[in-house]
Amino acid sequence: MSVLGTPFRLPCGLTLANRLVKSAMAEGLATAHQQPTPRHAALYEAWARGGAGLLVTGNVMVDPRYIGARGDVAMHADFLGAFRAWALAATRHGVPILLQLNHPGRQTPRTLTPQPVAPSAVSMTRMAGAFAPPRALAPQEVETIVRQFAEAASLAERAGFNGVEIHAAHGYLLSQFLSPVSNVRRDAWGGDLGSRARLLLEVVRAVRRATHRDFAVAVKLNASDLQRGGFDVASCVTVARWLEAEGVDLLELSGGTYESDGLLGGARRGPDAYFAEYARTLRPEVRVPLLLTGGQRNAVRMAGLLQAGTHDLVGIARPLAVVPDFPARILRGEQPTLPGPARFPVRALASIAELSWYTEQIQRIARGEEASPTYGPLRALLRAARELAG
Amino acid sequence: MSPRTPPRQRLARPKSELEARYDAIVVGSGYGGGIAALRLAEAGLRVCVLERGTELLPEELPASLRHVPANVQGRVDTPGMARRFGPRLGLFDLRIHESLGAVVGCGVGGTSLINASVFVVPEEHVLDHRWPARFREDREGREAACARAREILTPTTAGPEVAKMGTFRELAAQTGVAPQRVPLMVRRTDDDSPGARGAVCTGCGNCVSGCVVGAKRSVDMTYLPLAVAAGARVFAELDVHHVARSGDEWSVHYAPTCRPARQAEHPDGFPCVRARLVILAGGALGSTEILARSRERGLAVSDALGTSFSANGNAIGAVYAPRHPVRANGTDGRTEPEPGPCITTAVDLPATERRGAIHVEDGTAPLLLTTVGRALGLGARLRAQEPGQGRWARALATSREVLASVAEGVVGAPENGQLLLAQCDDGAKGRLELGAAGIAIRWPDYEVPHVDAELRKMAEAAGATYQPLRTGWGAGAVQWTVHPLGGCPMGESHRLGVVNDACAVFDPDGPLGAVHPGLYVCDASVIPAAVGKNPVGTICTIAERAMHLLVATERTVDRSPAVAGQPTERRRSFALSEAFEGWLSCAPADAPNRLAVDAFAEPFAHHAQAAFAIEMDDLTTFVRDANHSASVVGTLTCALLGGTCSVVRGHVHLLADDPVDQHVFYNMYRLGLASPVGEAWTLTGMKVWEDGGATKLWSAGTQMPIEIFRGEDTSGAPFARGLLRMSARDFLGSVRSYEGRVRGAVPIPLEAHADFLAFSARRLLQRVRWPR
Repeated sequence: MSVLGTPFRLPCGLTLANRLVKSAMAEGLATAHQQPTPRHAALYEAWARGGAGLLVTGNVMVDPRYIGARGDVAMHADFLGAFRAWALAATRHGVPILLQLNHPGRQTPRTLTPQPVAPSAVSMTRMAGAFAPPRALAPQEVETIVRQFAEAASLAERAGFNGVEIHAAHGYLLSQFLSPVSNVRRDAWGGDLGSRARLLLEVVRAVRRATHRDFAVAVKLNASDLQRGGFDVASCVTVARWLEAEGVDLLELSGGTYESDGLLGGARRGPDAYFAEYARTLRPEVRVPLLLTGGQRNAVRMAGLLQAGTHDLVGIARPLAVVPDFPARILRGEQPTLPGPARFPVRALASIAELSWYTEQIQRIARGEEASPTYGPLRALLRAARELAG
Repeated sequence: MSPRTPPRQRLARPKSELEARYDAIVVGSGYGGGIAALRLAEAGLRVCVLERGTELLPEELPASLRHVPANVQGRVDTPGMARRFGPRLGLFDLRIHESLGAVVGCGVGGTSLINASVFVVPEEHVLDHRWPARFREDREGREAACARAREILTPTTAGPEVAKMGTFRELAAQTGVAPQRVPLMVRRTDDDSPGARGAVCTGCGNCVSGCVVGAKRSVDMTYLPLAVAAGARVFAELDVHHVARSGDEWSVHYAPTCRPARQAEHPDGFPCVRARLVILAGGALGSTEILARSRERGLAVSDALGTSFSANGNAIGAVYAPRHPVRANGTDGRTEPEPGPCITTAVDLPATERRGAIHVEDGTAPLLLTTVGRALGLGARLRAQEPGQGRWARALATSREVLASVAEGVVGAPENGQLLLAQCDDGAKGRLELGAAGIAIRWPDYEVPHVDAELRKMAEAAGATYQPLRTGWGAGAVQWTVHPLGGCPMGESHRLGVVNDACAVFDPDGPLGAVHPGLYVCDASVIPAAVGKNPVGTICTIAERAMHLLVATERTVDRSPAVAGQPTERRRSFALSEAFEGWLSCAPADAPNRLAVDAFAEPFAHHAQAAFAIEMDDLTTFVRDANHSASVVGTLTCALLGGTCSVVRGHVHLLADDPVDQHVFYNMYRLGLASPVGEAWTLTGMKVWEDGGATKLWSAGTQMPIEIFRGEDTSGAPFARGLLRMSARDFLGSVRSYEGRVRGAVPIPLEAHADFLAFSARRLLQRVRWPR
């Protein structure tokens, strides 16, 4: 049998039936008050039936005031019933589900947050028009954020999620703290790597304290920001060692930020597995289970990479937006064809159109419809603009 | 009735002995399943036989009208209607479809319980181009296989002459072909011929409603006891739903044949057993249905699945010879003379230019059918009533019409009738498709008019009238077949068939001719064309040959009679289902608030849900036994354990005494769990019933703290602890699922219900502290 079908146990005790993990993708399905809806449950029910060994939700904001996009869910005790239905949609099928916790920091559009918060008042350099200049967080505000993550994790546990994934990648708040480009603080939360990583480690520690031992705590970390002077692979190795010491159950490797090309497709060198070489660097340094996400589409190559031992779990995201049972079919030895969006001719907008195209497909699954490969890139772009404008 | 030999032993094991893994799993217990079970067990494999029906000892088979409701089940799938009816364990399984209906048996022994036990092997020329060359050309292998089957089933033409043979000769006289006695798998004479065991046929004529005498050499009297003696395990009342590949094994997913406490919310949560070798032998309809469902879940199966369905050219009718009384109805052995076995004689009408060969046999309507007919009154009387207005009145009129047709066709003249069964090559142009009520026969224009014409000619030449058996009328008339064949036809490659000549299932995704390793279909469903004669001989030949090619080992097992055993009383059993929801945690016991057993506690992480089917196999023993032990099958689903785990070796003690504290009863569950990732766990759970008020009993009865241990050892620290709770809705569902059963009989088994309810009420009331 392919190594992809072998079970895997996380240090907390959670058993994954196979090595395929549905990685986080923004669903954009929340209500105007950032509440989860029955569509979330329907969507994750479809994915739970799809054969993945583990589901990671799209990012859920720890603070309803700061959201990354319209339609993002935020954690709140009042929404516990809706979160419960969402978790149950997966766990009733025996599929574990992790809730991804995030704080967008300065990466929140101007239309949603007139004044975002960030480690330092450093504005985004790309797409600057879309993001308002942030203000630096006061030290006590940083402590509040630690508490918000812990409370959100505790609520997630009460709602029946099997764990949380703390999002410290892609240029969001925790990632901003890690990067010397966006974090120029001189207090206890900035400076050398130890101080820049302090927020992430405090968050992990607080989440561990707020939840039980068998509750999985995963961290999504950039292997590299793919940006000159940003968080690089050497820092990643160091932070990964610290996270291991904190008892993290799973480390998901990704890369890039909104400021770099990597997040939206610029890292696509080679046929697949965008960040495989970073995993090779990291593997000898840490023993924490590694989840490698990005660009893996071919079953044979997935199994080959996994066999090489650089990582333990394969993250799949976009294929699941068009083929919800992609993992089951990969495990059966099939290689499903994956419809993709037509490329938008203007390069600067192409990746936004692509992202929006996939979000549309996800929402189709949530509505119980089939994927629509013919959905045009212009429509997708207009859809993105509409989202942004509200 | 004639003196009986001691009844045979029960073959089916309690479900609490079900293991997670066997070397081979045989699905179905008819001829194909019996042969597979015996040959694989002889080869030293650990064999498990799963049968959807229940086990009926000869004396538990239906014998009178009051046994009918509990023994008739079926499915209707015609344009405009798709539903199942009757109890799921009913012996007679009627499939009613547009223009063609089929009767199959359901029980340990499969259709062999209700066939006429004719063992004939068709001529060589029947094996035409539709059969794979390797099967056609392996004459030696086929003959050896057939000889192996004969050795066990001992078909013989010996036996006393009976009156209806003369009648049939008279009928056949005009055809110019001499009728022949057919070899029967029935012990008709009290001699010491080899293989002669069991009771001697009394000639009651009720072969096709089940041989209550025990003279019929059905599979449960031959292959299965030998297989059990060779180590095979038979589990009844487990309905296999689909098979799936899991690693280098097959997982066979099943559902207990009892009412669920909760309508299935997610159809993938079936428990399963695993093996490297799986033999599907559920018959033409059963095996095709299992493969079709497996295909829906991703198994690659040839597109030929469901094709080449044949009714074996069946045409059934009755001949009435008013001037010549015919003794051709089943009797109860007391009031009327014995007609002899159901089928005794056959005539082979050779092929002419206008039609193919036809095989015509005499037949005896079993007592059950004639009694039904008499009870219903004559068809004419039924038809005389005006149909009323409205849906129900029309439905009533329709059902009267159907019954009238049966009454006229089969039993219109009980004293003067003679059933005829004709078989021919019908071209095997039927299709089997998965419909709303399971597998359905799609053959809207099934007809064998030349056969009916031939039978009518025979009857009229003898001065009698002929009435073909149909139910319904006009365009809605349904012809019946008792020989559904095909659906998974054998062929040269997956383009032409579903299995190869050795019954291995083709893998259409592999190279041409590739098969799924370890997956076989071994029953009537692989027959690619009508055989035109009773198909048992062909089925046995195919199955014996396939198993010989599969194991090819010497037989080592003692063939001593396995029929003698302890006489048993008519067994009462009781089944119920339970659904729980709750949580599991591997936190230590002293973790704050995690293990607070509180109805109002928050549900915590690692949601768990369970569906258990509990069976008291023998209610009398259960009530008497101080431990009150029952068997459990079902599932526990929790992400912590890797998904949906199947219960294996599941025991529960219901309302058992605490050996120490006389004020306490407990329900103690001890279940093995086989996780989908191949790990073994053990669940222990205890509901404690202490003295207290009714509310206390409610919370005691609906909450169960559980512990999960790694492996089978429960002495160390548990891997996880948790709580399973039953909601009020699930409790009602559980009560609704209560099902008392008295084997093979009694439409409403009130005594079984009464026994169980009295037992639980008595026990519970002992624990209630009444207010003074």
